[in-house]
Amino acid sequence: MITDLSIKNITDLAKQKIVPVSMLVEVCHTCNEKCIHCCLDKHDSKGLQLHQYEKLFDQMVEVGTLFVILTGGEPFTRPDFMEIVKSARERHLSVTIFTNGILLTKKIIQELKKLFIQEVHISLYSASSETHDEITKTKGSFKKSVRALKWLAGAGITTRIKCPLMNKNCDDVDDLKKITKELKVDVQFTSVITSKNNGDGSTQLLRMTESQTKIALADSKIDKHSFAPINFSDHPENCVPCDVVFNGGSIDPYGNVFACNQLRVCGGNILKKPLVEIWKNSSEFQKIRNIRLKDLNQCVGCDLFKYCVRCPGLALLEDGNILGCSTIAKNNAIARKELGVYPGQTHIFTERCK
Amino acid sequence: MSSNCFVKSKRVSTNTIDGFSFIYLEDTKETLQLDEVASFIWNQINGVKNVSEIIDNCTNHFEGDPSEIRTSVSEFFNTLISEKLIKNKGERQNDYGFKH
Repeated sequence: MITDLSIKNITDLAKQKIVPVSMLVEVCHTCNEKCIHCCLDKHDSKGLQLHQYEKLFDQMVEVGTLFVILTGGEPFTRPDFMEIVKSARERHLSVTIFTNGILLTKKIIQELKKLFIQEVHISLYSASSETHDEITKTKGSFKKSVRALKWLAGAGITTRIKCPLMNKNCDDVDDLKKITKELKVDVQFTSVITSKNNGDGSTQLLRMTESQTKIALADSKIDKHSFAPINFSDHPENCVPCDVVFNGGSIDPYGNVFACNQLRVCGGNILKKPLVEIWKNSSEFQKIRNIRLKDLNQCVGCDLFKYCVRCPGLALLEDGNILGCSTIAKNNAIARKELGVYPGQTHIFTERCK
Repeated sequence: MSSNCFVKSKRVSTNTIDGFSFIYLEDTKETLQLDEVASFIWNQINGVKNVSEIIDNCTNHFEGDPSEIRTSVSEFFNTLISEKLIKNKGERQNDYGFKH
């Protein structure tokens, strides 16, 4: 009656059945840091009210969600954030929290432990307090984030560092790796600084230089490598360019449901329509679900295809065409080709048989 | 046990996709899938229905010898208890067990 399996088995089934098994919820856009690379263009939304999140979580249970990521802004700037976490856990939704950790206390961590949350991800941008605080524009933030990491790891909560690499901090990778070993936590690096959600590309100036990018992409801890290229171009009519709106999506602090927190195509608002209705009936989501590799004219036949990790959200945000070439993905693909490494992120292009 | 009422453990995250329930155990990071019958039972463990009522629902819903179904459901409950996936609602819930 009971079978062991992996989380990937669940996400694969959810994709097949078109169930939002994993949802990201931005509970506010308010923040206590002022990170120079932040993708948010404004930080004024304090999020929905607790009873509205309770209703949302009920709807998530109904539509098949199992994993919920709670993020902000900085979610702990909400005085009632722990009530939101508790509300999700009472419905047996698995909760992961993205935070900078500044407002965490030992008492809060004990409560998180008792609530059996899945993971906490802390943003840490450097092993140097000077560099980290320069990026967050918040004096003393490094010390508080590291303190939170120590407390979380000490409490036995699965904890990860999230570190987007930019020209200011990419030389700190080795030192950050050392810190993760000392703290006994994992680290996830990302190599792309995105434009702001409103299309403001000023943050692109923070991106690594060409030579820095090459060094980063050569490191399999930063950019997962495959031994062989992923090749779906033999059957482009079945190949889905991204999993978004097949097995997950995101919700902003206003209640808008997006295909992904990167692909800002809105399917509706939960204050006006139930989540299940938005998920199933949104024409915008349906259009995205119908996109196949064959529709990406510039990708089919591109000699960089097998080196490319294309995000449709970035293609739309930064290059203006969800079906077009993503400049940042192309630049990284050129770097990978020169390095002779293939990307390991298979979720970008996956086969979908009909 | 038949009059006992159970709740799912706090360490459990769960939902049902396409008729099959999935369980993610937050402390051990294990992932489990229940079959159709087990999922039917699992989804009725809500702190309201007692074991006897759930057995009755199973005998009404599934074809087969009622006494065999009763035995199978009872065995399944014993497995859920021994694996700490459920807890008697009447017991203190300081370690695990939400209200449903």
